[in-house]
Amino acid sequence: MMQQRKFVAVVDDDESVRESLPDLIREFGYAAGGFSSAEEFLASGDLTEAECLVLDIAMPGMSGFDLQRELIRQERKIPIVFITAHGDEAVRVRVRARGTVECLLKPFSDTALLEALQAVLK
Amino acid sequence: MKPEFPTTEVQRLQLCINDLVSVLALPAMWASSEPSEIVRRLLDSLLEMLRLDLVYLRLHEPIGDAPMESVRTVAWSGVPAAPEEVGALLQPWLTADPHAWPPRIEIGTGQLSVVPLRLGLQGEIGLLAVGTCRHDFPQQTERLVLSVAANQATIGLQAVRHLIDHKRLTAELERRVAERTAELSTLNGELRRHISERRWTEAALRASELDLQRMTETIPQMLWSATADGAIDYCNDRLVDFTGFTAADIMGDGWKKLLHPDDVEQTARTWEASVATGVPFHVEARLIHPADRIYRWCVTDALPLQDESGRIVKWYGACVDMHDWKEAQDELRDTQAELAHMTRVMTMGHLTASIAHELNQPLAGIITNASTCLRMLAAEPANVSGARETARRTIRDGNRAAEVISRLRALFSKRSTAVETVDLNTAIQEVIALTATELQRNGVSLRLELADDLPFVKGDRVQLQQVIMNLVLNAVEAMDGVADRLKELTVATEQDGTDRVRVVVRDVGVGIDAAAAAKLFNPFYTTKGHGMGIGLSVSRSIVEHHQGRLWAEANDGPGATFLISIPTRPHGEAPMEPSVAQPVGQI
Repeated sequence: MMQQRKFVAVVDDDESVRESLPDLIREFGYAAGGFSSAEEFLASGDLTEAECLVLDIAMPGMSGFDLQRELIRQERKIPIVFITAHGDEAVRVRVRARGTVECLLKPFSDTALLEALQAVLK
Repeated sequence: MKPEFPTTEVQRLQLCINDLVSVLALPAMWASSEPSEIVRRLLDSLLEMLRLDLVYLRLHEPIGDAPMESVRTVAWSGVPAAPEEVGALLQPWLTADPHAWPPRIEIGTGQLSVVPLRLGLQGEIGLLAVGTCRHDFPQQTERLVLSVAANQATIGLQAVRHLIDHKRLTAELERRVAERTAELSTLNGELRRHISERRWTEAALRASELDLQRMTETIPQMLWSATADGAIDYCNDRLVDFTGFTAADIMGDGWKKLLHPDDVEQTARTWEASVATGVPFHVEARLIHPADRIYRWCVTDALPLQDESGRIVKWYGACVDMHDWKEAQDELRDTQAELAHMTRVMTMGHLTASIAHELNQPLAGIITNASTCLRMLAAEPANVSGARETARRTIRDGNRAAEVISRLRALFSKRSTAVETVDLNTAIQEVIALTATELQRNGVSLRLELADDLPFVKGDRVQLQQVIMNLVLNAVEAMDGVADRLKELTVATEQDGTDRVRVVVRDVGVGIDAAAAAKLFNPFYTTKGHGMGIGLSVSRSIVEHHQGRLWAEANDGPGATFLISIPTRPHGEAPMEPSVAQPVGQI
């Protein structure tokens, strides 16, 4: 059996993104799953499996940053690629400074995502 | 030979002549005397002349101041001195013929020879009775003297009576003349008063007519009147000056020439209806105004004058030039629309981030799906079913983006006001859809309490939505600094009485104090660091344009509530059925 595919978790409250991203990521050759909120992700068994997190910033309830803080508190070092529809370059610079891998501004290209994931999962 | 007379006889005749002379002189003595004086002198003279014991006079009718009965007597005769007593003693014969009198009558203590003498031909003046105790009375000479004296007395009394009557008649005549004169003079005075009053009234009327005419000609209003059947019969100079037509041109139905051709038919119809029914006339129509070569908007009003039975006697009307006012109104409306648009654009600026988010979400979906699709098709073998699924999602997300854009366009495009049937619930849901991200971004949780079966209102949907959005965004902003409680925004609709609906937007933010509440809706009043403060002012003018009310109330707890109340049937229209609802927000 081949080495198991690395699992990428997508957390976004927007249905379009939650549906489309995992498919694309699977096309990249990874395993992927979608979660509609930070709480749902934390409660799932996939928490321990995830080797990378594609995380929306603005969500009802816990925001992307809240989840990032929670993961640090739980000492889980899952690399995070933030995605946001609110962002501009300034936001992007700020988010990168938080020690995350990448911050993609919606809408982003498939190659931008692939590069970000490859940087994390090399 | 000379006849011989005895001396006594001669003396007797001489005495008689003397007596006659005295008697004949009597009238000279009593000339122009009062009747009582005539009576007194007659009686005294007879008593003395004929040496009588009794002289009694009784008058048939009163003559002047003479007593009805008078008596002269001598003290020793035994005859009573009171006339009534003598009259009573003579009573049995007073009315009898003088010839029937007895020769001797008992009067007082003795008997007297009494001679009655009628005064007047039929005794109509009265009766004179003379008596003496002598038996030979009356001698022939005495009888002569008596009859002459009676005649003299009759003549005297009659003359006096005539004089008295004459005086009485004269007095009566004078009295009547005076009375009549007084009457005439009163009448005359009255007549004179009437005449002067009438003159005064006429003068006043003339003055008043002149005054009224001056007023109608001078007053800076265009005035006219018409007959009961609607024909113009008067117009003042102002109307002539304004229109450049002569008064004669305007008479009858000539007024139609003054109107803009497009307004003639409608105005004529309204006028005919008023003339037929007596309903006050009111039209807005354009009147020709050659001075600046345009037709000017004028409001014409007329009221009927009715007689007591309610029949129309005449119509009185006035035209008022509203052109400048109307233009100002139009300009104001344009300005208001402009301002409303500006506010919307500012709202859009405020919402840019949210709008970008709304659009970026589906765009992200589109790009991701399209990329996936391409990759699936490029694989060996191609994953066709997967590609089909992702292509389908691409289309869905594309539609979703299009919807967002159409909503934005509907809300923010510049357009003139439009009246349509508006379901406020749907309108609110659309606003919420556009602001959902804004709410989320600010951590605001929304409670939507929309009433079922809410009646529709008539108005400009976009403007109403703008008001609601304005209130929602204000509420979000008001809760900006809130950290100790849930930032809850309530948007509710409800029936407000039978013919109004209400939109309630409640926040738990900083709230408003009473002083601020009064100024909230003033233009350029703002508590915000940014913004021009025209949002609420424009919102209120929009709501008032819908004959509604917009006001603010402080909450019992923290925050403020803004309320909109709008009638469901403006201008007395029938209530609108929900079934006529137009779909909104779609392209």
